[in-house]
Amino acid sequence: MRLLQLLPGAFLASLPLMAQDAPTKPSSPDELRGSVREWIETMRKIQTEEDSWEKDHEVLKGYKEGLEKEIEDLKEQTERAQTRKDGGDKQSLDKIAERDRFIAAQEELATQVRQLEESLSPLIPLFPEGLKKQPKVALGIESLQQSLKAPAEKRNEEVSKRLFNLTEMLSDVEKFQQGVHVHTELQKDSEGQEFRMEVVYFGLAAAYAVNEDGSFARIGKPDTTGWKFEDRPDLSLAIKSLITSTLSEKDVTFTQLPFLQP
Amino acid sequence: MSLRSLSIVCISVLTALPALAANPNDAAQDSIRKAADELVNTQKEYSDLRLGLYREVNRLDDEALKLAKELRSIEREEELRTSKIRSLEREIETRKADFTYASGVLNQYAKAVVTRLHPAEAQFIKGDIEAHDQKAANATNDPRSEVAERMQILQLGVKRLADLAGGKRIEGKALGRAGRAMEGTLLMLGPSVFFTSADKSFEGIASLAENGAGLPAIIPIHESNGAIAKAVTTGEGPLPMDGTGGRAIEEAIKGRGTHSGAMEHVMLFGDIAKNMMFDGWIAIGVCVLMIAIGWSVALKKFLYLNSIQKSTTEFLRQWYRLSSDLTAIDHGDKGSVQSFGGNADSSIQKLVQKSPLYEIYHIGSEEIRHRLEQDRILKKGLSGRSIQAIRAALDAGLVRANHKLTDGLIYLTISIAGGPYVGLLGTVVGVMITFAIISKVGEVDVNAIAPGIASALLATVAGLIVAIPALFVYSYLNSRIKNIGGEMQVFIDEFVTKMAEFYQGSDKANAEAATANAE
Repeated sequence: MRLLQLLPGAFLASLPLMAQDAPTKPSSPDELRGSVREWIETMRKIQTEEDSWEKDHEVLKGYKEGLEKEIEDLKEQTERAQTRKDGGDKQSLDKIAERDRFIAAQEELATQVRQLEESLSPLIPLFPEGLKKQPKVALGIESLQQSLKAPAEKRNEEVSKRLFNLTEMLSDVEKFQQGVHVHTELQKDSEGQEFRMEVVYFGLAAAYAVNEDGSFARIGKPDTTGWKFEDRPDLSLAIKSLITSTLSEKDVTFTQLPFLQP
Repeated sequence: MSLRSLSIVCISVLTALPALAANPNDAAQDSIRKAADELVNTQKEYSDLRLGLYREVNRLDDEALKLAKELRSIEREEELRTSKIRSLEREIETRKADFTYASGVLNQYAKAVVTRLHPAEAQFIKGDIEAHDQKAANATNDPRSEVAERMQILQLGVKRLADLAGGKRIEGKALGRAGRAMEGTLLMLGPSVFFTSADKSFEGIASLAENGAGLPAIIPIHESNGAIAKAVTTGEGPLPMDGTGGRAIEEAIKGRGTHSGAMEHVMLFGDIAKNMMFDGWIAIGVCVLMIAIGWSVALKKFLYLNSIQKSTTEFLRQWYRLSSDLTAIDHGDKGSVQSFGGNADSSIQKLVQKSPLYEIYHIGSEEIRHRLEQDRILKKGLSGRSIQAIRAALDAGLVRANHKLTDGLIYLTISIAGGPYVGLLGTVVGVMITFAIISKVGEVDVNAIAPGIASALLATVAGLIVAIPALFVYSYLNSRIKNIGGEMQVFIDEFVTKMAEFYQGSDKANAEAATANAE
């Protein structure tokens, strides 16, 4: 095919040879042949160059188109990724805001629990011994005391647990406050003798105590340092009667007893 | 052939034309030179084009590389962001769980503390607690505010305890006589709350019961005589202390502190009856009707049986006297028959005639007399068939007497069987209505349910009150009736036996009469 393409060239190149005038300056056929060959070689090179270009052009064009497609895809992917990233940023910001709200709540809780512990601490002496021995109250007091002794950097630890212990303790103390309770306690008289006393507590308000044979009776009231009892042997019968009506289902009566607000 | 080849050919032709006239070698050299120039030009041109394309491709390649890098960078950032979000979510979840737990603990306390408030206290503190609770409930998107509000309730609880320790006096309101709200001073002393009005004209102790008014109801204590007012005002003095957990106060409300336990239980029926609904009253009304009918029937039957018992005893005394000579009735004198052959006077006759045995005896004697009157001529006495006929008449009399004895007992049977069912119906309807009311009100409170259920159960009690005594009475009466029935059966056997024995002589006379007639 290529040779066919060269034929017109070869014909035209031979035209000068055919046109030469025999009587004029004679030329060597070898020279002419060499010239034709050189001309054909040149024309072949031109053709080769042209073919090479055609091939290269095709390849480069395809490569270019592929790159353009790839660029287009990449742009789309980038755009999508950017959209997702922007959405993720917003989501992340929302989550951070939400987390910060909970952190703020926990910090507030820690502060408030600390304040609560500080305000509850002075009340502990107001609790009767029998109340302090109740499991939830005992645990609450222990938790409270440990927390108050803890160094500043540990005050925000185990807040929920401390809060639970405090509310359980408060609940039990409130239940105690709204009831009449008879506890058995050992108490000393003015001479230092110990007696086994039945003590009736009207919540955290007042207490009336009497020993077994009624020879030793006292009335008590809460104080910042604990419960203070005052000897009142004249009230032994009334206090006995009060204990009977408190413990009995049948003896439903009022008992006249003195009250002295602290 | 390409355009370029064509142009080369054209150029060659054009250059060759002058060469026809010139030196051919020079022309060839010229063509070669031109072709070489053309080759150089072509190479340069293609090289330029190729270079341009390569540059373009390189540029695109760079751009693609840059975009790929950018994409990878964004994707890495996205992965990091996603990872961070997951991490944040886990952290939030943990913190949220902690917060929810703490909030739950606080919420539970807030709900419980309200229930533990004495009605006297509620007027001072309940509003604050509910306000904080409401604010906390509204702060759903602000956990910090929610915690702060709920912790305020806890702080109120602590403050309340500090105030109440040792007793607390406070100015407030309470309900006095006839539910009148009055200003005064309250002394909170553990579970007991004492009150005196501002003018000291009214004093008492507060009931623990919730009355719906949000104020404590004060119960006056008769023996206090101003002692409560003095102690409440000064914080010092004797007070009527209730160690019974409010029961003494409840007794004071009822004004019947001296009632015994049994009496108290009986009086509870009054409280229960107050809550009785219409359907319950219908059931109880039916039960009362059944009691009235059943008991009147039983009384009537008891009296009747007593009377026939007495008359039967007397009859049997007369009968045993007569049974040694049954011929006392062997004549047409009706009065003689009725007076057992003249052995019974009129008063005894009246008494005896009440006995069902007498009725049977009367039937028998009438039958015998009737047959003997027909036999006065032949004197054949009573044949076997006549005795059988009399026995049949006596059995018929027994059946009639039995009917008379058992008459009315069906009312007792109805009371026994029907009373509990009527009561049960009243109870079931009452319970049903109680639950329907509760579902409408929407409160599940034992104080709301218990009175309705107790009242509904009163109908069952009424049904059992109908049935149980009726059962005993029925058994007793039935036993007595059976005894009387047995006596009647024995009497019939005895009567027939003696009748057959005494009137055999008549057969002999007949036979003698028949022999005489033949001679």
